[in-house]
Amino acid sequence: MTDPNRDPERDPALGAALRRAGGEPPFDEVDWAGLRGRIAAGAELPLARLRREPVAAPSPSRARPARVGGWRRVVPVAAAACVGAVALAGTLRFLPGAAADSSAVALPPQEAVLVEEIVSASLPDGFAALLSGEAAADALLEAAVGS
Amino acid sequence: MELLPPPAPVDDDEDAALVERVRRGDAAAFDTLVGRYMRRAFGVAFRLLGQREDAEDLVQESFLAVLQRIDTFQPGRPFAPWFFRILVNRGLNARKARALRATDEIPETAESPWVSPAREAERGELRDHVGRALDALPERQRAVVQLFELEGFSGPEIAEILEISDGTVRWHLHEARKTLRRLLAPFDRRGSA
Repeated sequence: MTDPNRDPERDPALGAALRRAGGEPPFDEVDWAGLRGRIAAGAELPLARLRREPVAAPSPSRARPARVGGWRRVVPVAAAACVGAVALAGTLRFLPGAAADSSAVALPPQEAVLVEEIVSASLPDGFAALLSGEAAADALLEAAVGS
Repeated sequence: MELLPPPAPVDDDEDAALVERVRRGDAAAFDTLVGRYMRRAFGVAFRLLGQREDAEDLVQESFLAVLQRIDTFQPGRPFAPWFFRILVNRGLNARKARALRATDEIPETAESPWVSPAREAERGELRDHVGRALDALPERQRAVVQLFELEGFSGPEIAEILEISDGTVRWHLHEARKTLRRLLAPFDRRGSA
């Protein structure tokens, strides 16, 4: 079985075909001395600056790792888990038994009675009792899983 | 034209010592690094850009970029992948810029005076075909297959140059080879490949 972590074998036929098609780089046509001279000329000023103010090697903490691995992979997952936990905690506040939302606006009495009548009329008897809070707490769970 | 001898085998420890001297502005050390890598750099640049003049410019810009970024080079890591990352990124950007300006055609290479017109026409057809096939590959796949098959970089070196994982390099290589072999098959059967 091929080791998936081992470097793949080179394909001489494909390489040869690519070379024939693309041609070899024209090494013989390059003025190497001229190119080297142009590079050296362009490097004079930056090198002079470095002589005046040599730069230090970056500290390991500043350096960007070649690849993220090990415990660093866990950080994004942990962050997502924290966000999820906060969101869940916020949701739990609104479940029955949780503190009432103090920002809720109370309906005028006449409208509250009207809403209650409409809801009660449109729902099965047992369900209306659940919503009104008159039913026992575990009845809601039974209704959710049993019906 | 002066011809350079083939470069000496890469020695990471020697490179590390040279880079440390370059940090202090040592021109001789910088010139040694240039001499060590310029031929291979030109080969990679030419395969990226397809034209000698553009490749020479890219090589020059990349070596000068080494000086601009020398403070980011991490001691203890090999110099070559870091340098070729600079060169390949610049080359890929140049290709994209050129593609935006005009149709990106693969230029003709120098014709050999000793090849018959028929053979040259056949070769030209193959060259155009493979050139189009290479151009049709996604940028990463093209870079991976060229760096691996033509420039002799290893998988881990390519991963460091392109800042992708080893597994991703192998996947790109597999996909690129699959596509190219399929497109080259008719030419193999004709015996012109």
